[in-house]
Amino acid sequence: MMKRASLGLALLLSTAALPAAAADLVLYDALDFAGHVAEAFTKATGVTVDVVEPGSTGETLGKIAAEGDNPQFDILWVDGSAVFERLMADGAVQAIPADVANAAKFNDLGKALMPASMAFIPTGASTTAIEINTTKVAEADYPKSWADLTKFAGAVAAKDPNLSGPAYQWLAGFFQTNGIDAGKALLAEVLTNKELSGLGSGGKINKAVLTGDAKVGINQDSSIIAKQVAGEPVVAVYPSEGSVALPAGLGIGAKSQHMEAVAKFIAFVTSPEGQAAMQDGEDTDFFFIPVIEGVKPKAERPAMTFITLDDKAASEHEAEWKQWYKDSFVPM
Amino acid sequence: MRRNGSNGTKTALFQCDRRVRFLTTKSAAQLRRTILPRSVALWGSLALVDLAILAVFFLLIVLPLLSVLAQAVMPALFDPKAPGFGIDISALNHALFAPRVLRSILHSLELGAAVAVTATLTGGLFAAMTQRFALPLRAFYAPVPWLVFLTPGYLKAMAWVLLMAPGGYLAQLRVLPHWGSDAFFGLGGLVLVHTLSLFPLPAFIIGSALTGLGQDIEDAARLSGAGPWRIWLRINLPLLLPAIALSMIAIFAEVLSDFGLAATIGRSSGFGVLTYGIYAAASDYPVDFPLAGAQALVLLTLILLVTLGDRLLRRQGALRLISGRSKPSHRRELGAMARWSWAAVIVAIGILAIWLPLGVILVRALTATLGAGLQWSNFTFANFTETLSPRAMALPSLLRSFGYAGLTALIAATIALILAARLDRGGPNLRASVTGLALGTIAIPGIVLGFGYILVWNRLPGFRDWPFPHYGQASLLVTGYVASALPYGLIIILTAVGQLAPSLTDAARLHGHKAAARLVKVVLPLVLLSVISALLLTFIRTIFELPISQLLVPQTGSPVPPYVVRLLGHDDDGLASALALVCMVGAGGIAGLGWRLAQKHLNFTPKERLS
Amino acid sequence: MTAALICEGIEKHLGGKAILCALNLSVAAGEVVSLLGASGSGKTTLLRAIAGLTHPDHGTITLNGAQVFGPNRVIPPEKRQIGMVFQDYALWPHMTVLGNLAFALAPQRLPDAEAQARITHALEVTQLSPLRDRLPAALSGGQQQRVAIARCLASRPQLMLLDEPLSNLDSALREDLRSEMMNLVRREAITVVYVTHDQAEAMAVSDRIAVMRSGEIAQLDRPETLYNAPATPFVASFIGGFSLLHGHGARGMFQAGDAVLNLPAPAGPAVLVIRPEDAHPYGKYPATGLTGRVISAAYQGRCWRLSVSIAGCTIRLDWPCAAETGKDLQFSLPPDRCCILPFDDAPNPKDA
Repeated sequence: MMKRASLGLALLLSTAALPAAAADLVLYDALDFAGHVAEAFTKATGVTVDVVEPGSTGETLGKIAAEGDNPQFDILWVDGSAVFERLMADGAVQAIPADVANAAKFNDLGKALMPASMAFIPTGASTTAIEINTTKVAEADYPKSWADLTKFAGAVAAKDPNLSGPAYQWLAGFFQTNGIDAGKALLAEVLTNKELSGLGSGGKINKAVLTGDAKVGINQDSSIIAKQVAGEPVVAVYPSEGSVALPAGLGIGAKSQHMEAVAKFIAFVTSPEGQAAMQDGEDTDFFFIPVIEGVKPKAERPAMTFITLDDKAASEHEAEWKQWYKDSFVPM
Repeated sequence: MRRNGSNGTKTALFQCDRRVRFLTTKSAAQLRRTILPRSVALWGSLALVDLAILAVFFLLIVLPLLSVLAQAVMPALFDPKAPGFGIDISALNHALFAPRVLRSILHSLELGAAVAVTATLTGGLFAAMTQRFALPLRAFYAPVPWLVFLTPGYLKAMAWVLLMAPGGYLAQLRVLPHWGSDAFFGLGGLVLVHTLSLFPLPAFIIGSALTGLGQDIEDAARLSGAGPWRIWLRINLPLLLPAIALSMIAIFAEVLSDFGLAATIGRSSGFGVLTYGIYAAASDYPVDFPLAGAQALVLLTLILLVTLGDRLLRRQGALRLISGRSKPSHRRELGAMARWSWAAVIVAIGILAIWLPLGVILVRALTATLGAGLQWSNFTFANFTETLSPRAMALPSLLRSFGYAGLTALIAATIALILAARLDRGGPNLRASVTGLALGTIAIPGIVLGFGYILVWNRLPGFRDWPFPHYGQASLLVTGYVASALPYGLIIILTAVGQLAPSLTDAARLHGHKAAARLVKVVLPLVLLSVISALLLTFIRTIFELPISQLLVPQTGSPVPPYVVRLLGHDDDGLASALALVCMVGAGGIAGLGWRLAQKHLNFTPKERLS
Repeated sequence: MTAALICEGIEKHLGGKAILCALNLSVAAGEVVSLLGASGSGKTTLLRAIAGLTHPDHGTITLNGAQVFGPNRVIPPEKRQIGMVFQDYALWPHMTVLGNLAFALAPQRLPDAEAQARITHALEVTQLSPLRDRLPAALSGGQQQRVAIARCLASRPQLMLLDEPLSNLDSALREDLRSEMMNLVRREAITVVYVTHDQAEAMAVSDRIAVMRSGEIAQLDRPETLYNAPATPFVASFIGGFSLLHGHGARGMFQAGDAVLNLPAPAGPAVLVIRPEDAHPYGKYPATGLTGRVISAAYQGRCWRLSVSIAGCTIRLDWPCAAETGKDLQFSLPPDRCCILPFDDAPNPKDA
């Protein structure tokens, strides 16, 4: 009797330890500030959010891919624009309702980033720059363009686009500015050290550049600026070919049953309050380029030329280009 | 296979039927009336329970496995837009012969073979020295195999990365040159860390074989004038060969299905193996279904072959050695030189395998940054305060993990107990086949099982709308945990039930007790100690389970392992170390306490076979 | 006496091998019947079939008039009300002596007072009352055996099965415990089927003994009958340390090697059954004089036990004085004690 009672008690206890009912919204993300913003959102509106962070952008998208035509998220918040086109084509996200999108007060960059397909709504942006260790490379030798990277062949750190959303955005933009065949040839000349060209995250690029394993790196500019602000000897140089702006995009799950709460979340993120929450931290993603009218960036950047990515081409070639990169530059 | 018993009875009944028909004048209808009730009764009682067992195995293991494997040949099976059953070998062909896959197969085999040798050597040496010789400093090494066994691979890997990385502690202390660090990130480091984390397995297997050998054989050889080296080479070694082979096979399988090290050291050193290949293919966008399926197919085929080898060896009597019924051997005294030098070797293995990694994790948890190293100013309790602060993510994940693991342990142990009691009476064939199945399931990498769970419970019509368990919720994660823990529990409890004399339940039966009463009142109390060991083992393993946790993270929040790995990915290794330590201490404390209590109150006949 | 247990035409095959062949057995109420046989003779299978722990392929088992096993009826063991003392006693190690008895009685759902009375009685007659709160592990082998019997007694079974109940005990203890146990059983007038491989034990406890061989009953008789008139050479070889002298009968004489005995013998191969105690000085019975070579001699207190080789057979004899190894010994047998059986060529189970 005693034993049975204690067994029952143990069962009860462990059941109690399980979290209670699911929240109002399910958010999949791979952004540093998402959890913080969700918390602020819940505080402001009372709407609860389950924040699911499976890992990198790649891993998050992998989870969504495995979920197939039965996506479990209400909101997806990751870096990238092409990827949303693809998700829309696969039926994983639905178009942002016009009234929701129109309610946001975008600045010029924001307006430019808003896709015609309405596959996502931009909440901020970043771009890819060349990261330079100022103690290892003299200022006169700074590369000014992607083409200049040939001077650093074998000492360039780069991210695997298969693991990083921003890295794919960069690869697609790079092919757009430098041409696909010429671009492939250039990369083949530059990325000759597989130990440096298949890294998994911006943090690893920073580490490679800071330790001197690599002289320069191809990295998300917010990641470089975060290190710079932290006092590390690095600087971001924007290539003369022009930079593809990488929006942090927010998409709506194709099967979402909570459109009202989703609209509230989008309204909050594009409000000054939500934007403040997005800047309230020291990690990479907090250093984004604002796309909302009147929001000041957390750190100033040098002037750069933005080009607009051909999302359609980027989305169409995604599998092919990623595979090419993997086969060419990723060890294993 | 489960219906052997009833089929036998049925055949007998039909034979009887035929004979009776010749001998008597009863009508056929009468005969059917007299014979059928018995066969139906036997059939019914067997079939229902066995069907339930089959259904559990099918749902928990077979179906997810099939879903993963099927896509190797049906690339469109889980296509989001146009799913279909079209068979297309070309994708499999392409995937199988892609240089990347071939390389990862080669890597897996190379690593498995190397570690099989090194870990068996280390474990065998450890077992032989600690069991057969009186060595000093016993307290330093006696608990080592168990501690190592229960510490998850990725934590040990994390510790070693902290030590060996170019900016790690050993480089800071100027002990490790740059090339040493380079050598570590590759086959060398993986072999080192695998060896140090897997040597307990051969230590257990060879250790119990040594116990089974007994001292008599050795004494007889000594009386015939053989010296100690000769005894070991000519007597003990040949007799231990089956155990050694078993160890190597077990280690090989463990290495093949490992994900923890593959995802940490392997990933950062570009040493791709099959398990990580499956994970990478499954977490790509878009998912490369044929590639994931093909690699899973290769991995499972390899593991199946290894498991078959294991079964063959066991059938050839290796198990007889591991009976533990012989006279226990006493530990031999050695000269002072030999004593202390061997003790130093054993203690060194212990230090490398557990104390050093634990120490590194502790140091890292107590310091702010890795770069600032061991300077006084760098020491802080910040990581622990953040771990234990109720507002941060760490504490909730810790509580969740304990809850999930507790629940998993209870469910798995209960199912295992019922299965074991059922199987024990099912005849040797049924037992052997289910034990084989369970052993095979242990070898199924969690990464494959977890991927299969996503496919089944989120994609298959009928399952995806099923309310419980449901994808994205804790219920499915716990189901996955149960599936991966069940085989362990089953084997532990089956062994315990098998050691009960059958007369104990026969006696209860003759006195009129029904099956349920026999299970609860006779079997359960007598195997409770084993049930509790299974429970505690499951609890600890589940708390640190990585691949299934990673793939089935519930929407309500992550358990500890994926969170730790994510912290590592964000270079937040201080917090990761603190969280891992708190988790280990908590889980170890609970398990240790539970074990002590159980030992004290549930041990009826400590040494003898229960009868 | 009415039959408490009737087994008819019991057959059981396992893996193509016959374990029990068309076996019939009837046990009267209050009778103690032993199943005596070597291992593999089927005695334990028969016992388990009676208990219901295994099912025969054919045949019927009737218990006090009610069929418990037959072509259209299988009563599960838990409903047969059969008590069994297992070879290893099968005491539930996690229950005290009292707990073992109470748990055994529980399924009968007796009124508390009656259950209490039965337990008390069983503990008293087995002299276990002082040990009632001990766990089995804290009892000696003999005490454990008494608990097993008490547990059976308390349940008041229709039939009690004893499966080699003494084999786990020291030989010094065995005789005392055997008589103690049988006194109890007799006093409670329980019907018993007793399995053993020890003929002395079977002789001591049984009203009748069924000697089993390869799934058949070779002879079922009272112990004295078995001793005085074994039905077959096999039974003779299994009983009382008897020796068999192989020879053949012709013209009313028994001939083994050089020896010719003037005894009525069936024609053809035959054996002479020699009981050790029947050896008398040569010449006392002129018709049955035998000569053999002494192989060994061992002093046994009351007499010397000699092994004597005659016509290729080894014969054991009790002899009043020492005999020198290697020398010839002459002796004679009382003709009325001589038992000559036709030899059926089957191998001696003890040699097998």
